[in-house]
Amino acid sequence: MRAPNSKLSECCGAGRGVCDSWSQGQEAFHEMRRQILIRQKILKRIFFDFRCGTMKEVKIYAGTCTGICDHTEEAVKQAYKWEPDYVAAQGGSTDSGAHYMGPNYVPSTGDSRIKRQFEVYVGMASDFNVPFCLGAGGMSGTNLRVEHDLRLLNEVAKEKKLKLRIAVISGEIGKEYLKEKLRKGLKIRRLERSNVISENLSPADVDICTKIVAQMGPEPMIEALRMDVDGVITGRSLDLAHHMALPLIRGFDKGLTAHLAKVIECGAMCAHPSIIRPVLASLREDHFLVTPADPEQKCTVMSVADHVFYERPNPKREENPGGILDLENAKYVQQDERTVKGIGGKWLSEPYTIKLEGAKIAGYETMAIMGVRDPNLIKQIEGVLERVKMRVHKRFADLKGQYQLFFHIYGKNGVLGEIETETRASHELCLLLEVLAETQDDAHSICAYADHQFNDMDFPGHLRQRNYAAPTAGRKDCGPLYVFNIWHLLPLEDPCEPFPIYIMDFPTDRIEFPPRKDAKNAA
Amino acid sequence: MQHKLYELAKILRSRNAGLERVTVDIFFDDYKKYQIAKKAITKSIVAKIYKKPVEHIDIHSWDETMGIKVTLPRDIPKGYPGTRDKDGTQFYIPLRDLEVS
Repeated sequence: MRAPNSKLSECCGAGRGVCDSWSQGQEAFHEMRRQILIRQKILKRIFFDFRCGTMKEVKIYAGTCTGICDHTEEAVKQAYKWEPDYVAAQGGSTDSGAHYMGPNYVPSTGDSRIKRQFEVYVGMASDFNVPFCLGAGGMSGTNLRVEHDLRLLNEVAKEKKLKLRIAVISGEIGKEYLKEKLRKGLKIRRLERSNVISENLSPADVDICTKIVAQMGPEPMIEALRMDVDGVITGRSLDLAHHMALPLIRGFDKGLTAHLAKVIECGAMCAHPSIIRPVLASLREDHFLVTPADPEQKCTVMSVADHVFYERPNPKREENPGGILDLENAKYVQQDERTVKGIGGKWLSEPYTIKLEGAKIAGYETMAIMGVRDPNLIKQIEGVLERVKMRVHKRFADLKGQYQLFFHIYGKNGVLGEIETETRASHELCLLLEVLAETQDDAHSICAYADHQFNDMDFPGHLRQRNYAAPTAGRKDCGPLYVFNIWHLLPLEDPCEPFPIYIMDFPTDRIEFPPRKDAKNAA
Repeated sequence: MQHKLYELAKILRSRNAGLERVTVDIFFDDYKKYQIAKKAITKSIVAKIYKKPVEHIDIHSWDETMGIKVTLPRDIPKGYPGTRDKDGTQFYIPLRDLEVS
């Protein structure tokens, strides 16, 4: 990609496209065309900013930002032909579990893929001189993970010779901030009925967490986009927020905007085949159009409706910060072979709350994999494993109540557990032994004892054999197990209050997040 | 003639819905098949199959998109020790072979 901001005169001295060779002439022509395009876009932006709210369309290049979204060459080519007004992508989510809420960086999708996505998103936004709004810190959105992503973005900025001023918004919540709210008597209730989450958040719940994040809504992003920046990068946020931010500044209907955001929040997962690749979404005054960027995919009424259903208990009424997205009257129409038109989303205002997510260490795990082939043993596997457990409980009586032990019997009911109804026997089983204890050493000791006992356990018909086959990585320490222990709703008067915005220039010599200098709107 | 649910459905899958629940999505491309399934999938049948209290089962259906959503409690909260199915992707299986007619 060519570096932006290169002057025409640098390309070929006369600036009139008159050059020595044909290839230089071609280059000059394209550069001239790009400069004209950039000036058109700037004028358009100024014009519409001034008129505020009369822009008839926002074209969004939409994807996700954890490195999973596959920006195929064809998809990017189509997007360039289409000319987006806005580049938006949500960050990761807690779908992947609490594993990424720890104090150390744990890889999720691989640095090369995260870099590639920044090359596409930020490069495209730069080429068209349009804003971008991306969720970083994949899989949890903690400051540590945002910092990791910013380092990769910094490399991209250096390699592609991009000069960027970016508003970076933290999604991590300080423990003192929450405890102060609790001290002032604020009730912070859990999101839903639960056996493991306390009904009202307590200071003890806060203290025990490794990290706490919250899903910011579009409001902090709107505030950041209004600053003199090229784009916005955020930590943990609501999955709809990035796609909503610019359209809301432009005055588009909130219900319709949120409705579109819901369809495109996972990119072309709303298409058929359902693969996370980018989509080209056009938001208009009273409807939206969604087309997958890659020509291999197409949006159909079923694929879109199917995605809107996804994961939510009641997709017709979805609670979001500050309101409910009411899709009771949502309708989808096949516009052309690959495009779906959507209408009908409504926004019902509610008191503003954000979802808090906090994780604690439940203990340390060790696991062992054991292959069982003896038919006689397979027939009585459950009884044998019960006896193994009894021996473990006896041997580790001093640790009673401080550990948990599970045998997952793949080939019998490892996937479904007690709701399995299949009774046909398999000729081989894979046992996964999972031990959780307060220290890694205890977990390893208990696991090692248990798998040894199983290996030597006698049973009716036993011929003094050893009982299992182990693969090379038979027993492995897994480190700390993180589980969610904060899953609550924090009421807010000001949607931006917990989310400081930092202005950062790229490329730079040193990346740290949050940076030492003050935030633009630190709480 | 008796059919199993998976023979009638166009989409049949499950996924986590929050920390302690899973949701099973069932879509059809034929209104008659959708009506048959809608009648057969009741809270008490789901409660029996999944061995959960009937008051913890939610069922929503939408005629214009021919979709049914069944939400039920997970065995163990996602990610907690002993979790069998971290992402809740196999919870649709017990409904797969449900006889509907």
